[in-house]
Formats: sequence, structure tokens, C-alpha cells
Amino acid sequence: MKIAFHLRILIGAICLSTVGIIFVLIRQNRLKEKYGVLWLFAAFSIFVFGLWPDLLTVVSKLFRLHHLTTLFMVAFLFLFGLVLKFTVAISQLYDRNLALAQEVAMLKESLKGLAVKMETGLDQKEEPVG
Amino acid sequence: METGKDTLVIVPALNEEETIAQVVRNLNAHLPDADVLVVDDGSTDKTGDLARAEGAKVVTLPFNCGIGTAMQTGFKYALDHGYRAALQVDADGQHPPREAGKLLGRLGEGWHLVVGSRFVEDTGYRGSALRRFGIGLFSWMIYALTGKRVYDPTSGFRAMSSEALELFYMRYPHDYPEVEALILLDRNGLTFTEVPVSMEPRKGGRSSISVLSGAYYMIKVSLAVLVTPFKKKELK
Repeated sequence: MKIAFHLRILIGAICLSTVGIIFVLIRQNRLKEKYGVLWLFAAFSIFVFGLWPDLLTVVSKLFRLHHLTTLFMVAFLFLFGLVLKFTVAISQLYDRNLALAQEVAMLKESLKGLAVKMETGLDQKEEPVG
Repeated sequence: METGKDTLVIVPALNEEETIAQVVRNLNAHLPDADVLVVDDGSTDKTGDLARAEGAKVVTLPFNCGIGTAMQTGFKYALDHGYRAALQVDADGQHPPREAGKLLGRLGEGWHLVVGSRFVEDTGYRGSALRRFGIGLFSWMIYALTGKRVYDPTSGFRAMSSEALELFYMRYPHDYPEVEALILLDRNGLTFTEVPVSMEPRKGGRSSISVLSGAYYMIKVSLAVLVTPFKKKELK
């Protein structure tokens, strides 16, 4: 299957800008490297399928699907995996958030206890020693 | 433990200013050998202050974390401060402290967790048909998975040994924890039993389970209960 020249330019531009955005986000510490890898993989996939659409045709023939269906299936599976990974990450963050809340609550309580002890301790030693 | 007492009464509380002072006062009167810890789960009213005024220790969570996390805060507090046993009591006054001796007594026989039950004998408890169905279903699931009978698995009136506390220190369900906790115990080789107690009608507040969230509650707990036996063991 032949791909029009201007379409190749467009695909290339999409991939390059994805890579660029990922790079900038990581550089600014706004995106963790492990998720950056995921998006670089996505950009790479778009690039490969964009330049050699016959690869998709192979998959389509294998599953006897229409081209477009194959494309949607691949994209869907990718997004499915991504969302799954996110919910796993959120679950972990949720656990840690609650554990931190517990720690803070208990630390505050013991700090209050300490403050009370110090005050009463100071009251008992009104006159400085030595 | 600073006070030399063995048992910590843990009272999870969310906006219970109507009842909390009375509950703490009753606990102190009936259980002089225990300290009372109120875990304030992000209340927006005076729950924490009122409990402190009655002489309870109060740990205040910075935001609402859910009953399971509130209880686990209590378990962590208990072990960190050297207590050997814990008693869980609701803040709405439906668990009479005079019955606590029965629960703690069974703990002394070597059980790791003792549930105060409304159903072992006719103790005068009636709930809605739907609620009784749900409790019956959970009771049956526990029997199917562990071979042990607990007729009131959702009861939040329970006593725990230090072994159970160590397990719950590491892992305790976040929301609707009561049923799941029993399976978790069994999975880790710990034991639980049930004693009949009479309970009071709640003096204030509402059940944490509304009609609308009832379906979610049933599905979530069922899923958790069915998955727990396959989870990694916490205790070696």
C-alpha cells in the first residue's frame, strides 16, 4: 500500500512532536521517565505503522479484519493497557497517602504529649540548676 | 505504654459530637484497666475536643480516611505504645462497655479476635430485611471459605490480641473492613470466635451504610472476601 507523501510528512511531524513534548516534560520534571518510555513507545509505533502500513495489513489478514478495525484495535489495546497501569499506580499512591495520614496523625499526637511533658517539666524546675 | 495498662479501647469517630463524650465516660467507668483512644477520622465538629476533655487520647487524621484506615491507625498506635490487646467500640453508643468483659475474657482463652454478636442468641436485635440478608450472605461466605461460623460478621464490637494487631498493622481493609478482616485472619493462620452481646439502639448519627451505597457495599465486600484467600500471606 502506497502512502501519499504529504501524509508521511504529517505522521513524521506527529511522532517528532510527541518525542519533543515527552523530552520537555521529563526535562522539567513534570513526567516520570517510566511513563515517558510508554509514550515514546507509542510514538515509535505510530511511526512504524505510518511508514509501513503493510504491517497493519498483515495483522488485518491474520485476524480477517478491516484495516480501520485493526487500527482501532491496536490503539484500543494500547489505551487499555495505559489506563490499567494508571489505576495500579493510583492504588499504590492511595495506600501511601493513607499511610502518611496515619503517620502524621500519630506524630502530631505524640508531639502534643511531648509539649505537655516539657511544660510540666519546666514548671517543676523553676530555679535553674547550678 | 506510658500508663502501664494492657488494653487499648479504640473508638473510630466521624462527627459524633452528640455521643462521643458519653461513650468515653462510660468506657472509662466500666474499663478502668484500659486506655481509651479516639481516632478522629477528619471530623468537622467538636468530636476530638469533647473526647479529649473526657480524658481520652485522641489521634486526629488530617482528612477523612475511612473506617478501615481509622481503625488501622488505632492498631498502629496500640502496638507502637506497647499495648497487648485492643477493643474496638463504635462512637455512637450502641456497644455497651459492660459487655466488653465477655469479649476480652475470650481473648484470654487464646482466640486472636472475638466478635460481639447480636445474633448468636436472641438479643433483641432487629434490622431491615435487606440488612439481615446481607449479613446472612457474608456469614455464609465466611463459613464457605474458612469453615467457621460467625453469625454477625459485620459487627464492629470486637476484641483483638497482639497477634491480630500485628497482622492488621501491616494490612487492614480500607472501607467496610469487618468481614474482610476475618478472612484475612484465617488466611494468616489466626483464629476468631463470637460471643453474644446485647447492644443498645444507636444514640446518634447514622449507619455508615445508606440504602444507596448498600449495593456497592455488598459487591465490594463480596469481591474482597473472595479474593482474600488468594492474597499473599502477611505473617510468616
